[in-house]
Amino acid sequence: MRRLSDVLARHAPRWSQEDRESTRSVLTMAAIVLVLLSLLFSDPSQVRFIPTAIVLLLLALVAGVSRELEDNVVWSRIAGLLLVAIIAALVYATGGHSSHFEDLFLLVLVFTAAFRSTGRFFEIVVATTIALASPFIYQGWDRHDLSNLLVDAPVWFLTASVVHVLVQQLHTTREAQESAEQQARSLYDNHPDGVVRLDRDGRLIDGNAAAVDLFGADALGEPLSRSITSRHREALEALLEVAVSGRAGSLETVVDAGEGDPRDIQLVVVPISVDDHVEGVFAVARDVTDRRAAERMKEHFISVTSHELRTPITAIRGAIGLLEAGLVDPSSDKGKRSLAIASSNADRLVRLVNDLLDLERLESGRIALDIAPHDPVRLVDEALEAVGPQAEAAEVRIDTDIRIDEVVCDRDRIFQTITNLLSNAVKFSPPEESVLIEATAGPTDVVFRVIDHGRGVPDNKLEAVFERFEQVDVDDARGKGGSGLGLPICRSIVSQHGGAIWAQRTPGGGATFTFTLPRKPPG
Amino acid sequence: MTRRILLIDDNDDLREIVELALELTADVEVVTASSGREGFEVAREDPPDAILLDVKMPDIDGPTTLKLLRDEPRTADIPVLFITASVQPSERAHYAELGVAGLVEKPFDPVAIGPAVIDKLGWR
Repeated sequence: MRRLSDVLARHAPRWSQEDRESTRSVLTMAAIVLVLLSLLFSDPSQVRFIPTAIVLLLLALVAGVSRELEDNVVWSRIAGLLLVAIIAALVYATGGHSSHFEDLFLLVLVFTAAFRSTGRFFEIVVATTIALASPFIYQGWDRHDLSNLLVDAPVWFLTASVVHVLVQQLHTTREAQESAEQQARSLYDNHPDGVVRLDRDGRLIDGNAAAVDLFGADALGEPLSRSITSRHREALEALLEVAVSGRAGSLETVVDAGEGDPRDIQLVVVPISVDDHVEGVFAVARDVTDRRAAERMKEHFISVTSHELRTPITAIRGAIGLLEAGLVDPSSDKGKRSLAIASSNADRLVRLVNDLLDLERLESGRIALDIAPHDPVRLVDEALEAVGPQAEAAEVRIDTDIRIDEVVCDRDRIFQTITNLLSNAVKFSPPEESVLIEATAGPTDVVFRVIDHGRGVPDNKLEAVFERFEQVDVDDARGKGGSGLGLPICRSIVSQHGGAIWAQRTPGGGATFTFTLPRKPPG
Repeated sequence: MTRRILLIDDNDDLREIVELALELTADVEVVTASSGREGFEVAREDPPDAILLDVKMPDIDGPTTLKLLRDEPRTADIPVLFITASVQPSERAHYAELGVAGLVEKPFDPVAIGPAVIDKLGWR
């Protein structure tokens, strides 16, 4: 199976046709210069330039046609040696000059050095120098004319340099290509979105790890439309048809073929165009399940909040409207009752709006906590003072058991939390009962508990009571004077301290609300 | 003959105000219930001429109560009006589709509610 990177690599930066052309021109020019030099000297000994010219011409040819030479080091060396052999054969066939052996030796060294060069020009200089000096070493200085060497040297250095530059360019091109391939591969492999490649019929040919997680390994080879909800299959097939015709598009749908829960995805399809032909389609699937859930939650919140706000407004509007229209006499019993309803609902509305704003500020993190060490006994005593009148009216006793010396917190916010929990405990306790607030030290935190023996919280509501407007009983909001936001506010305060809050049954009946605060709060 | 309307709403204050407003602005008798379950029982015992049903109620909400009423032969044909505080048009459209005679939206003008209800029920 062809990997995605192969497809991407076809579009990676590479040795362009222009580069090839210019290299070919340079090599051809060099060859022509050498031939002209030979003619200029009109000396049989200068025939040795001819093989070099032929080599350059052959290289120019190779630069134009061979991709193997660009991509394969072994091939390029073999090609170099083959060229040398061809030239040697040509030179010997013409029955030429006595120093052909030296030229051949020189060529082998120069080309070997040039082709295996990894950018070190020095390597070529050394190889060429050794090659030039070798005839003298092997055959003795007297057998050679030093003037030959002086004429040869610049030519050979020039030749070696041209070959070197060419090879270096090949290396650079190959490296850039490999790097581009690796980058494309990395983008594909590590992308958190599921990226899949489809054939023109919409069948899944290849996918990255995220795609396998999303669609499952079984989806390979199957039409992508089979992985999504049947409601959207036709829409996806239509979208893929459009993509095959060369236009990108997108679709919001649900993946429900895998073993896991259905996932909401945003699917973007892009045609894979190669040389003006659409070979297939890339599909990028972004998992938007969490975002959708958050949106649904927000909608739910708006719906619930609007209901909660409109209910007291409706009562106020109704009561005042009846009085205003003169349908009810304000001094009659019904009139007084209407005014009382308007008044209590206005109070409720104020509480609701205050608590909503408070919760909103807490949850958006716009309230900075003022964290400092405080005396827990004083803190609890002040909370007891605040709920004292309510407890007296309800004939509920509050006991305390504080076994810690210090609590590090935002004083006002934890006071608010304790007051809220105590007020709830008193609210739901029958007369003559008692409520206990205790504080103990845990290994890394302090633990507060408010324990009552009231009607308790049903098991299925133990977590829900911390949600907005999720009272145990709907009449709690009205009858018990709560906004339905007290516990969500407590939870927000405690979690901003880095602690936790939860509800349990009190053994023997009632509810226990526990919250923890780290001894050393975050930050 | 005075017609009888059953008002099902979980909110005590709203029940009181709606009852008062209806009796003062339309020639109807109002009986009340504070939950879907209670409302269904009341309707089955002594079927009213129409039912005003709050949509959002705990335990059994308006649409569920409506289904109970429709499944019970004695209450199946009683016209029902939903009372809703919904702001989302989609929600309102959804409630309208459930086969109710109409919607009463919160907050409402107490002086107009009697005639409006009579109108929606086609009793004029």
